Amino acid sequence: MIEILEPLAQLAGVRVVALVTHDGVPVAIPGKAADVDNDTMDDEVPFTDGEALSALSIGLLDELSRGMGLLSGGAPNRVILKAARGTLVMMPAAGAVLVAVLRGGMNPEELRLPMDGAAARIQRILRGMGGSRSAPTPLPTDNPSVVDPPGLFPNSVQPMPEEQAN
Amino acid sequence: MTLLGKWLGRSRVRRARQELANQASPMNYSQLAYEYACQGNTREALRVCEEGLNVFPGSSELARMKERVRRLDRESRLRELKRELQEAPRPALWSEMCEILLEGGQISRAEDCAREWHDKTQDPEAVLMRGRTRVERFLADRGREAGKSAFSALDEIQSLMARDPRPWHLRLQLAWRIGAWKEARRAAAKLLELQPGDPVLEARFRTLDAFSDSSPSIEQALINVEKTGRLVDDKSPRETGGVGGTNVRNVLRDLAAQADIHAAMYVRGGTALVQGVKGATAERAARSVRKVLQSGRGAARRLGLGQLSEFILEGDFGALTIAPGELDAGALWSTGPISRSNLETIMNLAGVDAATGEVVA
Repeated sequence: MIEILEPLAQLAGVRVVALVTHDGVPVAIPGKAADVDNDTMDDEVPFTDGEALSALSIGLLDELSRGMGLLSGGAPNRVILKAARGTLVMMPAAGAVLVAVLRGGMNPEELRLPMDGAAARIQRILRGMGGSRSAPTPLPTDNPSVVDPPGLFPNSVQPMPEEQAN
Repeated sequence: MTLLGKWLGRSRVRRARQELANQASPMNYSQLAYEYACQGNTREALRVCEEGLNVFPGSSELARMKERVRRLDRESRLRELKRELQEAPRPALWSEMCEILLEGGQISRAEDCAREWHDKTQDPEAVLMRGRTRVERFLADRGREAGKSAFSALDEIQSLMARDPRPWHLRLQLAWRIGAWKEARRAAAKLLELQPGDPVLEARFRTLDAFSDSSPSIEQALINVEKTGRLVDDKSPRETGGVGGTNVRNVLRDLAAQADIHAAMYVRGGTALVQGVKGATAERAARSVRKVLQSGRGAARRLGLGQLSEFILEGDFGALTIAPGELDAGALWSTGPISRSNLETIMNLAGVDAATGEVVA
C-alpha cells in the first residue's frame, strides 16, 4: 500500500496521505520529507498524529453519510473540506478510505486524478486479496477433458490421489 | 518597472479614469484600482476602492478588490521590514512585522516571527507577542487545543512579566470570550491590583462577580466553544437583523433555474430558504445541509485546519457545495461540480446574514 500512497504524498502541497479502514484504523501512512512552508506550522496541527487524523476523518465521513441519508443519497464518494489553513480530501476506496491533507492554497482538483488512480489500484489489490481467500473450490467432474490441478492439501470435496489413498 | 512599462501603465490608468468618468460602475472603479495597484500605487488604489464603496456600498467586487489592495500594501511593507531587519534590527520593527502579519490573518507566520525575535534578542516583548498570536489563533480556530495553548502561553508570560498588566488584559479578554467567568474575574481582580481605580475595570469586575457562581471551568468553556464554534460575544442569528438590499430569494431562484442545479439553499440558524425543490424534499435538503455544515465546521476545528471556507460532497446524489459564512451559509445541490461563477454567487450569499422570512425547515 505504501508504494501506492507514496507518489501521492510526494506531490507538492500535500501534507499527509493516509489509507484508513472504515472503523478508523490507519492502514498505511507514508512518511514524507518535510518541506515546511511559511504559512503553516506542522507542529501545531494534530494530524501529525496519524491515528487522530484517521479517527477524526472517519468520524466526519460517518456523520456526512448520515447527513446525506436525509437526501436519500447514501455515502459521499468524495469529500473536500477546504479551511483557512488547509484542505482535507477523503475518498472511499473498497473497504477503506483514502485521506489527504493539503496545504492552504493548493487546489484540491489537482489531486483528483492522482487520488482516483490510487483508489483504483487499492481497489484492485484488495479485490485480489479477497478473491484468493473466498474463491469457491470447483467441484470434481467426470468429464476427462476438464482437468483441474489438484490443491496443495487434500480436502473433503477433492478426492485423495490413488497412491495416497492406498 | 521599466520606463516603457511605466509609460504604458500611465496610459492604462488614464484610460481607466476616462471610462470611470463616462460610466461610474463597480467594474470601472475596480478596473481603475487594479491599474493603480499594477503601478505600485497602492495608496491611490485603496482610495479608489473606498470611493467606489461609498457610491456602491453593497458591491462585493469592490470589497474584494479593496481587500486585495490592502494585502498588496501589507506585503510591500513586509518586504521593506524584512530588509530593514536584516540591516538594523530593532524591537519596533519586529513588533510592526508581527502586527502586520496578525492583521493579515497570517497567525503562524506572526508566531514564527515572534519566536525569531525572541531567539535573537531574548526580549520579553517577543514572548508577549507570541502569547498574543496564540490567543489570536484560538479566536480564529476555536479549537480546544489552541485554547489550552493560549492559556499556557499566558502563564509563561505572566511568570516573566509579573507586574505588567498586558498579559492580564489578554487573559481577561480570552476568559471573557469563552465564558470562563471565574477565570475572567480572577484576571479582572489582578488588573485592579495593578491599575487601581479604573472605572471600566471595576464595572467589569462587578459584572463578572455576579456571573462567577455559575461559571464553567476553563476546560469546560473551551469544550463548549469547540462544540458550538461560538464565543460568548458572537451575535446569535436572532440578534443579527436582515441586511437590506440583498434579495437572497431572487439569487436562489436564478441559481435553481439552471439546468444542472437541483436546489439552491441559504441557511442561517434554524431557518432556511430553499429554491428548486419543494415540500418534504426541501425540508430534508435544508436539514441535510445544516447537519453536514455542522459536522464540517467541527471537524475543521478539531483537525486544526481553522475556519471552514468551502465544503464539497460528491456522490450518487450529485454534488453538494456549501459556502459557509460566520453565521450563515449558501449551498447548491447540483448534478455535478458547479461553475466558478455559481461558487462565487453562493460565497457572496454566505456572510450577508440576510433575513430569512420564509421558514422552510
